[in-house]
Amino acid sequence: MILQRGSGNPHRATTLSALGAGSPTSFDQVLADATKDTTSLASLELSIGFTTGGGGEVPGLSQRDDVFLQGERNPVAAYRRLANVLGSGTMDPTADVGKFLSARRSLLDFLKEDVSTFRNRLGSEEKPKLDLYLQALRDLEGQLGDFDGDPAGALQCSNPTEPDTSADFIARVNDMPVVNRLFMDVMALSLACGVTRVASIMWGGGQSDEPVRFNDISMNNWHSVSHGNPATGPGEQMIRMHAYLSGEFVYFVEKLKSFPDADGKTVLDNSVVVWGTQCGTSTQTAYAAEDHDRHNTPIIVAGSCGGAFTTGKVIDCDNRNHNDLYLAIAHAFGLNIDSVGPESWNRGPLPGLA
Amino acid sequence: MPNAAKSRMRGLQAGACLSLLALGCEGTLTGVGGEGYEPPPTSGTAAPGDATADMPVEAPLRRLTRAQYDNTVRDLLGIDSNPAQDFGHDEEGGGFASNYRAAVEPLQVEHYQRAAEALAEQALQNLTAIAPCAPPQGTEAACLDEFLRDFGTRAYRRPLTAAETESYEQLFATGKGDSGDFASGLSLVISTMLQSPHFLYRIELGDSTAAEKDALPLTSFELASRLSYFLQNTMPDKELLVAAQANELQTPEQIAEQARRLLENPNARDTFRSFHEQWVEVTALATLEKNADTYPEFGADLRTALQDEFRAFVDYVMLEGDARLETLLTADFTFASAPLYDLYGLDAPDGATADTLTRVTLPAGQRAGLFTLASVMAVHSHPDQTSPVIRGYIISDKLLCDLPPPPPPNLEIEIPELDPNLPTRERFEQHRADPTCSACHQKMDPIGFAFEHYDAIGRYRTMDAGSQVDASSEVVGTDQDGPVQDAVEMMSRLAQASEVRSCLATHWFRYAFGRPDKLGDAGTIAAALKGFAASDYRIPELLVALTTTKGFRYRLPIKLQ
Repeated sequence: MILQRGSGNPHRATTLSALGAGSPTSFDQVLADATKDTTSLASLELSIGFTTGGGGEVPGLSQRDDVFLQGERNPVAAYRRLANVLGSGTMDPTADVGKFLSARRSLLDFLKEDVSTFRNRLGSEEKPKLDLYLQALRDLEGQLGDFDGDPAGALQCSNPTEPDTSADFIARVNDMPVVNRLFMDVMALSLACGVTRVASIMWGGGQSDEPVRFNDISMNNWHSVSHGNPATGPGEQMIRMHAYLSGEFVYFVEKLKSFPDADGKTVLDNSVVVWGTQCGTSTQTAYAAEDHDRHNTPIIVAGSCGGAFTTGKVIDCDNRNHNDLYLAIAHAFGLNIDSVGPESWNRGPLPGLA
Repeated sequence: MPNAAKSRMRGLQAGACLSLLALGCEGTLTGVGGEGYEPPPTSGTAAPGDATADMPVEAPLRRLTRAQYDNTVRDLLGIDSNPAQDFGHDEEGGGFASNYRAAVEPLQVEHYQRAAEALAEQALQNLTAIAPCAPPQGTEAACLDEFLRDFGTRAYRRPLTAAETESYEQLFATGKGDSGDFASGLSLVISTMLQSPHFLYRIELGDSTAAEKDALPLTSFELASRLSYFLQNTMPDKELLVAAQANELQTPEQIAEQARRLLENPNARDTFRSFHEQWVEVTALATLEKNADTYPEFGADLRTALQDEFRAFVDYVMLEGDARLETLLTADFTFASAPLYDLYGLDAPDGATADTLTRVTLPAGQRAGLFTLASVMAVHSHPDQTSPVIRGYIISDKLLCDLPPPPPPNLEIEIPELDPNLPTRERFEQHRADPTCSACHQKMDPIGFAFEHYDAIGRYRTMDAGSQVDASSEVVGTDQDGPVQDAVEMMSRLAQASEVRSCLATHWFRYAFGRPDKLGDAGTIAAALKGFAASDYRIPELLVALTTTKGFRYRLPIKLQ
């Protein structure tokens, strides 16, 4: 498969294209738009580490109209976000939940009034900014104590356990052993509990200039190492890193599998999980020979997406762009669209998945 | 290549150009097809010095940056926990954090909510500090009234209206409930104020009663905020609010007096650091990594020392020194802590520690001011080698305001492999032979070659790959053109060039307004430049002059449709 990308700095372009697929609104957001009315959160974005690649930081994989949706980077904050929807939003066990919620509602009422007093004096270009601020406040209000069911069965949905406050920080790649499974739990719970239908996480990103030193991995700069010789030390480090990430992917997939869904299958059966990298396994002698080769990029898909896909096989994608995989997923999702991203990047839905 | 033409026409964000140019043109074209990713359109860059009048300019609604949020809660509540460190990234405008265009994201609104609730709780742990009149000192009603008047004015950066005061009284009652105390009522009030758009946004509606044709004067309170966030990166202090209350922030003289006061105050440090760190893009220093084989000495200690040095240098030049552009660009001194003596080839004095910064004179003829600080050179290098392209780009962008056109799309890049027998200059000369790249690189690379005496961690070197470093270059396109032996000579020419003075004024304009400059801004920039020249190029006077322009004191009328 080719992880197709646009022009310019290849690190940045690939980060933009991983979910963006060449469009100013990323594919996950296309799915989110289709499902947003059925869930509390339209989508959930998480990120670990910082990535640049020219033009400043890329804060996550998702974009809407060329504007990034920032990924939550703090695992405890991500949990609290979930708790906001699933429970009262207060993590203080001694709090009077009724009073807490009523205070928050009064506050939101106040702020809506506060905005309306001057909104009409704003210029036409400024009004939408305040309208979206108001909309976000309304969404917050809508989320308060929103959850009143347990679609995934007797789960932790009504009372997710907050992680230890030692994880209350902005996570970098080197923190993954401490934080990543907390993030995975938040994602899995969000899907299993029906908080959202679309979730994404960025591990590192297209130019992760951070050190990674845990387990058997020792890199001063993940990105620099990824440019190194695949046949020697750098290649060995990349293999170890990807082996570690595979374990984390498996953890997430197993987690989804552990949740029964309403139809008697598992949440994994009714989902599709896509894991990709921008480092293709090219015929080049050094990764740097073509900067993060987009060709022969491995993409792993888990889950049968409600029965649309048959799992457990390897597909030769014949140099198709990743847009075709997304198009196949869109169809499995029930979205009747002809292309994902620029039309010229599509050949048609990727065959062989069913 | 239709995309190339399109990209060029639409222009690119300054930041994006860096990557495209710095990395893009170092490589070879492979002609891989595919639609280009279209960057969002941005406005063109004005030619500074256009003979247009100083007039009101666009003033988009801005949301506080992370630094401004942290500084504001520090000054409002006395809490310096920097809660905005958890917030999402700031949107850039004209090369500086600004939040001027995109709407706030839902996740950020949740961050605001969490921060506000935590800050209110923290502030009320010391109730008498935030509300000295709290019962039993005073009655509840009188104290709430006083709190809304004093604290409310500081939080909203203008007095609350009667209707707002009444609404807050009701909110207080809700927060207090049947059984609560004064603090629980106040908690909801404070939490709400911290989530109000009047706190989070810099709302500039102007004084509609004094509207002129095509010009809407800002109110004194709005100007107090403009001055304060521009010159100290925080909320207005007491003197500014008093002056605003008396409506004494209207004439250029009144504003200049306040601007000078703010710039002489140590709190101006927040603005000077913020501007310079973003201007020369050393914000990347915090996470900078170098190749451990090539530069084993580069680690956390050196990074911290370089960060401290950069700030100390800027603090000194701008607040204690003469603050002249020439000093900023040619100073032969810096501020060293223990890890830096070796890097700069100096003998460490007895008792030097990592925490003590000492002013040192650098070895003769080796350094010239801000752009040759080791931190700046290290950031604008690759992990294992220097980058004449990036360095040339930075000088072109930051000092000459002369951005080369973006490179063609679909450009695959390849940083030249290190060669133990070939110096950087010769390795980079090769790709300039490629006609595709030479158009922009013949302009940028020679500027960058002047900095070849500084390796990828900013250490001075005389040899590169077994050869004498050749840092000779030429200043072109200015009124100070001529050959130079190295960066020191280059900076001493640039420090006198009118193009550089005008470029600095343009960057400060972008910082002040939080957006790229446009053609209509040229008159305001030119007016600021006049004040700069009159002070013999003292930078604070450039800023003072900017605050007295019509561009700063007015805004364009609000288009309701």
